[in-house]
Amino acid sequence: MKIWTSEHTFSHPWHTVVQAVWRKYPNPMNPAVVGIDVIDRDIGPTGVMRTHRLISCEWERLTYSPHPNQPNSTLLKQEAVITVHGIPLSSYFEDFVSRNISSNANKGRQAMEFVINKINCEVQELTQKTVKSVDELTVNAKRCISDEFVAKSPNYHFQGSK
Amino acid sequence: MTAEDIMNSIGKDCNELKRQYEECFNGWFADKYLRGLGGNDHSCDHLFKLYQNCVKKALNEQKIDIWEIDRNVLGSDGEAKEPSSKPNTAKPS
Repeated sequence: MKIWTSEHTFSHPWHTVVQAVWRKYPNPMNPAVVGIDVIDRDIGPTGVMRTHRLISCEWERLTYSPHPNQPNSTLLKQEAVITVHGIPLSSYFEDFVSRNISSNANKGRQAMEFVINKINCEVQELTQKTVKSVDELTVNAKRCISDEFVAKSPNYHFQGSK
Repeated sequence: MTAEDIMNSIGKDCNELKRQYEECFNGWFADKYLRGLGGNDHSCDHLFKLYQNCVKKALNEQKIDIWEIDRNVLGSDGEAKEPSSKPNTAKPS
């Protein structure tokens, strides 16, 4: 198991940055955040402030439907509502947000292709061979996935699972 | 203090109370707390109470249980029960 950690340095003094923490939303980089509330706050005997916040998010809406024009295909429509207002250069930020959403949507589609491929491999194994055990199905499916996926996506680096 | 973009509360009716509290808090935080003078200053307490009551009421009305995410369901009685069908877009942060 790996836990992701990171350290980052802001070139600003601590008292400035910590104020920004409380005022983080709204900002153009997180359009999905639609609400934030402090639901508890206290100062302990040593002067340490503890805050509990509730964040409300609205993501995109995805609709999968049989493709109206292409047989054996599926049309995916995605909608995300972006509201950027009250700041200068709002068109620049709207563009920035759009690009961010596009990039994430692309990752989402790659993820779907990955999983679809996995399903196809499993189906293929089931229909082609007499499978002796569930383990054999998994091993063969995994082999199918790495061969198929690497062949179709030369830019995707498939790492062996742990 | 500069004018802030308004960020909504989970309770629509709480927006104004939230705005008032946060304006007070941001000022107190920068001018008092960060200078080590915050301890006995309770100037925002009243606004905080009003805002909090409103939020707790909204959480009840929307049937949001903020501690749901911390609860251990597997291996307990709750495991066999169907989850509530309401889509929950809020999570503790």
